[in-house]
Amino acid sequence: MRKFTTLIVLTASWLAWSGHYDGLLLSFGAASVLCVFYLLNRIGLAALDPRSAKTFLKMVPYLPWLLREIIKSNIDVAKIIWQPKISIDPAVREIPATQETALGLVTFANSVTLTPGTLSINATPGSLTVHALEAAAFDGEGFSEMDRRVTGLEN
Amino acid sequence: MNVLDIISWVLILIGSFACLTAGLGLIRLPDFFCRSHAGGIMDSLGMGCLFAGMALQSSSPLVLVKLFFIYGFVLLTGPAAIHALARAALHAGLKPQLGKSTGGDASTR
Amino acid sequence: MTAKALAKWTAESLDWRTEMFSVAMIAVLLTMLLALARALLGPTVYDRILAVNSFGTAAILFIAVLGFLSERPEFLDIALVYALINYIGTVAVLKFFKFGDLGHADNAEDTP
Repeated sequence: MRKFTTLIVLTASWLAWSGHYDGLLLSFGAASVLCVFYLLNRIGLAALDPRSAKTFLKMVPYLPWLLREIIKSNIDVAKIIWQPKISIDPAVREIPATQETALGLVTFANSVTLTPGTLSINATPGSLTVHALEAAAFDGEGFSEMDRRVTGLEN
Repeated sequence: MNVLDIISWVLILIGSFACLTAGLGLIRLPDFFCRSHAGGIMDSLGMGCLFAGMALQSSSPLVLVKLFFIYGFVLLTGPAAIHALARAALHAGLKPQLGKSTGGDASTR
Repeated sequence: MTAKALAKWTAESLDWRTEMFSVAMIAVLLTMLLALARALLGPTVYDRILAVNSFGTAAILFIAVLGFLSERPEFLDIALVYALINYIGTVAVLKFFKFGDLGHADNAEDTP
């Protein structure tokens, strides 16, 4: 049943991309969907884990918050880059990561990297090594809030 | 020109500026780990604003869907590639330069 | 052609839409130039790979803007393919550089 969902998602994305709906191209589309489905099955990813699916759905309200963080930190980094004499204070520190699933950890690490000014350079279950352009990034509640929000996506 | 066109002008100007900032950051920042941050600017703000500006100019929903998918894909893979790079550099023994608050001297260049 | 006639011709042939995408195009091209400079300057191989990755992102933007400039949004398909290749290329070069080959004997699946 879950594999059937994967098939539907693949077909929908093919239809969204193609824009051509005559017989020959539709048959090519069906062939490519089956091809991709076979490959997904072979690497064991054809059935989407229901917990991951839930996480993906929960990401929808998380993204606007992330977008705001991204814009804020983009402005900070742009200011650093355009100042006549670059003065920065880079620092590397480990921060706790409370996610249980691999997908949660990946989301957290990606969110940290996606906000310019902070960059995750190593991710292990339970902690994330972060390189920051300004050591002040570690001071506030920024990371613990992001961590809490991403963990909230998991369940 | 209506309101949407003006918004798309503004978005494209912001996006162009963000791209230039990223390029300048790649040249000006002092070490590899700092330069990675500049790469992130283009992935997030540069591409986001340029694509949003283009989406407002697009003629068909198909184009909108494509822009959305490309941006989503880049948001997924851009940080992953930068993370892989930084991790490989760290494992290869490249030491990040540290600022004054952590006992280094990479404050200015 | 006098300067006045040239100005008139430019004003007529360049509408604001072309102007808008030309601005984006110039910015993206300059960014590509800067990224290329970093790829040439180095100093470590990771700087070069990072610069090539950024160059690739700029190339995706370039293709997309070119599609809108020439009013052929089909270019977006090429941009998507470039996005795929950019990521896979970065990771492949990274792995090749680290291990010296793209496959490992100990990683090989279903060895009989």
